[in-house]
Amino acid sequence: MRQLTLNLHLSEKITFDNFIVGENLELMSALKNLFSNDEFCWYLWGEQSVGRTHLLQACANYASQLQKKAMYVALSDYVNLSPDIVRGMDQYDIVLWDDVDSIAGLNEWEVALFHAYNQLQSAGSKLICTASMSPLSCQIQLPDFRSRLAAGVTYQIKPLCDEDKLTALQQRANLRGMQLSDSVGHYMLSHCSRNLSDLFALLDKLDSASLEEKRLLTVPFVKTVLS
Amino acid sequence: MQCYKVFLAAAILMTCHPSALGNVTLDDFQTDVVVKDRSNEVLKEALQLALQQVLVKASGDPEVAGQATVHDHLSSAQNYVERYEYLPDPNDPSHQKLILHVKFSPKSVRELLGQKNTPQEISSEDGWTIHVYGINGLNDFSDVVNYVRALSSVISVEASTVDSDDVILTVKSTAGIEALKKAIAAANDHRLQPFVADKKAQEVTPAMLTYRWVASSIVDKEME
Repeated sequence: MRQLTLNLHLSEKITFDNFIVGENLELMSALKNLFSNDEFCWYLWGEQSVGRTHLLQACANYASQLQKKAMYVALSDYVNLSPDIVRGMDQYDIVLWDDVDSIAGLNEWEVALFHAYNQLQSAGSKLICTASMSPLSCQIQLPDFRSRLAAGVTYQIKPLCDEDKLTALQQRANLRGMQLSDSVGHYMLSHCSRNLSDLFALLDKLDSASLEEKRLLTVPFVKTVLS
Repeated sequence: MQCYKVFLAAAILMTCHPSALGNVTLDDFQTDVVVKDRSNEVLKEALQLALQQVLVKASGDPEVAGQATVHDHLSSAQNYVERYEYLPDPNDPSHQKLILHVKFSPKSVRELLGQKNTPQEISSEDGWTIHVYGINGLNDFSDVVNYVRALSSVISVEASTVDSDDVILTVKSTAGIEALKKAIAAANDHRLQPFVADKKAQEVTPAMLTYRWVASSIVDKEME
């Protein structure tokens, strides 16, 4: 069974195994046992770069391994999508709405998702949503939809500590065929933004620069690129 | 929404839990509240009550929720939640009520409890931490250590982490961290200059001072 995805490159490389767990062990364990849990709606929230998309895509890939039909939708890309895409989603075993709060205040979207929610629940599917804020702080305007999002299992995804960020950076570098030493990683963490997205962007920049200049990733080289 | 909508499962915890902060277990950060439905209004109140229970359990202080610095955060209880889920209430044969099982983030709760007494709670027994950036070689490293050691009230200086261009020092002092900060600011040569490397990190580690080591030639130019 293959999973479908809309407007996002769902990478098969994204799995639970390459998610740096940090303090999210309980959440990981719960997600791996998702299909043996009776709860229909799961709401995962956390600040930027905590790995919301990674977790959701890992869920989709995991479901696929279990021969379940999965549908992943990146709602942050709503400008390129129509609310009609959520029609008929009840044919899937699991539906994953990434950044559900990005459509907050867009009535057409909220109504469409609300109806889809009800259809999914009636069909016995699973729904996992991610957002940048807790369900009670979410700016969804449709009261019934807001209530439903908060009515299931809710987890806060915790950010990684610096040591775990270093591991994430090194893992990312390995995927790109680079070696990132501890000293270079520590340098990046202490001299650049600690936001993992920013660090990954810097890693991409370093990758390009090191290829271009045929240099190894060393602290002096990172300093040069940063300057 | 009135409080009657939320039924407190273990109100007794609010008044006489004996635990002290040093003996807190992970179970102390989770609690159950009986609720009548899954609406947001009930959820919000239930989370506040749950946080109050957990604060009492984690602090051992039955009055902790009444303290201004803690009380102000109760309305944002959802931000301290690590996980919640609804479970059927085994004591309700009609299945009308639910149990909201809430687990709070131990780290966030500890930080919330720590907010009320932060300056007093920071102990100087283990030393203050000074992170100095701008170290350019062994001479600078040696100069910084000697410089800090020479400050009034400083008893000892140890380098806990040395990186290519920064160093983290553990400084034992007879005075508090504020006095140490003042001593550095009062030094005539201004070679240690306040430096914000990571604003967020600085906010959560108030016991750490962060400086930039400035070469004497640059200080001279800046002073001119």
